[in-house]
Amino acid sequence: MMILDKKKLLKILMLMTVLLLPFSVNSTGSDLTSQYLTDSTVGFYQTNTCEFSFANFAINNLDNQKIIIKNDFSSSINCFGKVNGVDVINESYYVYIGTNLTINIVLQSLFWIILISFIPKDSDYKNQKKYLRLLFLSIFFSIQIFSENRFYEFYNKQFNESISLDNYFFLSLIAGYFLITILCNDIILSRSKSFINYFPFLFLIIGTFSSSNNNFFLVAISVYAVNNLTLERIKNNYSKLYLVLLIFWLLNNTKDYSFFDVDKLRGFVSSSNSNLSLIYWGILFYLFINGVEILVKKTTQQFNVIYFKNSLLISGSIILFLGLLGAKSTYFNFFNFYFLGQNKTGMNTFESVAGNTWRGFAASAEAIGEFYGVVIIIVLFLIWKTKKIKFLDIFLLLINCYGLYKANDISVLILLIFIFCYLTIIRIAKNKKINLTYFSIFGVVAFSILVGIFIYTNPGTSRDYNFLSENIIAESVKSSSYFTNDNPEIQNFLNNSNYLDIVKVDKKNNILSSSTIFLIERYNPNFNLPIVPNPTSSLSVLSTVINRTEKWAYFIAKYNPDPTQLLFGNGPMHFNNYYFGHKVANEEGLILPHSSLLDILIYFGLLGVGFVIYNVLRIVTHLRGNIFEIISIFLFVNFMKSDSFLYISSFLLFYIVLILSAKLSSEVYSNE
Amino acid sequence: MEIDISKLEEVCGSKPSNMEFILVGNDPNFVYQIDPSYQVKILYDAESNIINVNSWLECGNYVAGGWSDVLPGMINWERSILIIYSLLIVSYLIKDKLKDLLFR
Repeated sequence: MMILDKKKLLKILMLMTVLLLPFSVNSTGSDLTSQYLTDSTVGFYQTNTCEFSFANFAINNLDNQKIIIKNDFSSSINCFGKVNGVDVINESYYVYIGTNLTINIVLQSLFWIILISFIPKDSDYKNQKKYLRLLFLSIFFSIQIFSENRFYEFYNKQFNESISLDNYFFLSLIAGYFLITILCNDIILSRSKSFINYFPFLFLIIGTFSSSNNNFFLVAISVYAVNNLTLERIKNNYSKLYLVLLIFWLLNNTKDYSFFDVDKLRGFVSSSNSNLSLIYWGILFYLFINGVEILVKKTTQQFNVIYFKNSLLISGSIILFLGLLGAKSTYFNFFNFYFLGQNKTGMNTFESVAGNTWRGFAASAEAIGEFYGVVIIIVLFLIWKTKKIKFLDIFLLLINCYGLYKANDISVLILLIFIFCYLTIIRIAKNKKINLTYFSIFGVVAFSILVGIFIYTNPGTSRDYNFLSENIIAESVKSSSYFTNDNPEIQNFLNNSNYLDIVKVDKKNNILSSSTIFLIERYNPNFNLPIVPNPTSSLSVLSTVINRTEKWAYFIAKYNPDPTQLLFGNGPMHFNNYYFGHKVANEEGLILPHSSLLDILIYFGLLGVGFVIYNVLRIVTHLRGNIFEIISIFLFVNFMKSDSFLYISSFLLFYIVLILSAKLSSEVYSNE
Repeated sequence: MEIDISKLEEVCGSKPSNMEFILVGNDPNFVYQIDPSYQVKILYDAESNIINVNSWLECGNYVAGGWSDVLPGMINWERSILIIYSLLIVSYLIKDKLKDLLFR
């Protein structure tokens, strides 16, 4: 029997206290008792707001199937954890539970810090008590309320923008952040060497603070960065280049203020294009990137692939389990959202979105599909490598496979098959001493034939090459403002594939984006290079095959950069200039580019895209057979058609795997 | 009781012309219907309790009952939290010294 020591028992007790106590305190001095929620008691709850604790309400309504628990983001402090309103919407009762920013940041952090404290401490850790730095860091994080004032005004009714000693909203935020950073410094940093083995849990605990556009792991990694950034690193060429870029982004920033609804990107994207916000995210991104790099490089020696695999398997299984639980029970859904720091509430149904995916716990089905793909690669690689199979591993692997099945990420599945074919071929070729060139040629031909068969037999894909080759520009023109209403003239040009005439007409109207015009002009070049495929046609066919035409066409219709923006982007985490820079026909909702390369293009321009492609190509051309190199390529290919770069956990997974692929020994981590 | 509609309009906006204002009082059986054309408003009572109102009728009734769109005593709650956090920070920072003092 496992015996828990006193410290662990105390931690469990603290964890339960943080989890339950704030949601169990009724309003003082009230002699009312909570009631079962029906049509007749809706009025009772609408009148008596902020009286009953969530726990009190839940006890009386556990079996009430018509209830949907919602987070009231902008509650006052004294209404925290209490029923703060009830609405009847479509036969359901929406019950709002009060939460408040100043409480959230500390309460959620406490929960996560206590969880992390279960990891054993590093034996050689020396606490760097640089509290003055932490105080400055806390002020820095609190300044976000000024740089993104519209976001915080929306989420916090206590929002106060004045800079004075009477602004207790701002001061309490600083105090809250200071408390968190001190705890991160003492508790998390003393376990930093284990981070590399446990980071897959970031897919389980996403860490976004409720009512906030910040993330706990950004705070924790920034604390690590301010403790470990050396003067040498700050003065290196990359830092200098970044500083120059930051100044450039500031100078090039548009003067038109806009508010970007962060939606499912909350905590890892800016909601404002103000200069202060650009500086804030610019500095934060620098701390984050450097913090992670220093951390991973310093702790690669502690990397243990077995622990890593266990973290992947366990977190993947819990994600699926909690996702299903959240879909079953609205109460679990609320706690999942709040205590796991989700940026979007999990699905409250088992049904798929638009009939094809179930993202359940995650904000993006693609991101969680990629994660499950990595779990499967690592587990099967280890089984292959060690030739040992544990029953528990197989059981957990099956749960993860079910997660992938629910995410319905076909590209992950195809790539998994491709990777295992590749690994098998390499192994056979090495064992039988067969020339790899023949195998490579055979592999490429076989893969091309398979793709060809897939396209030819897929009923959703057209076999008309002309249609396929111009589909993306036709869709892009259809997404433009020309089609806000019916436009017979442009429609006629489209029907006759007369794109150059559209460009001629547009010279007067100036409605099409520069990228749409660029692609049309490449589609109708002044001269054709023999054999070389037309770039627009190639892009169009590719987008059709991977089902991205609609999304990429929307991006092309919207992306209208000036030459400097095209080269250097708009700055890290800044979507505003792209999103509000050029009007298109359908402006409703958050439509992302659906390619991380396009996301990077918006943030860092061609410079950033070139940098990423260069690093991936460097891996591909120097392939040593290291499994992490293969995972990097697997993630890169998936990132081409997903927005995973915009989610902190997926971003970290790719970034860390990229560093590991360069750092880890090929002998240990190859499949030979 | 006589209700001054103009006072309600100061908080809730102009009363829709086709609407008859009635005082609901504390009738727990009454359910306010959501008016999709009405922009949700947040009202506060003297104890800083918050309510989201979804129609002019609902808003008018709450305002008639003493609720307002101005948050009262906001600073006190934020100040209380500031004091609590500050005490937690100080006690955490001096915890080692406190331990020494207590167990010496």
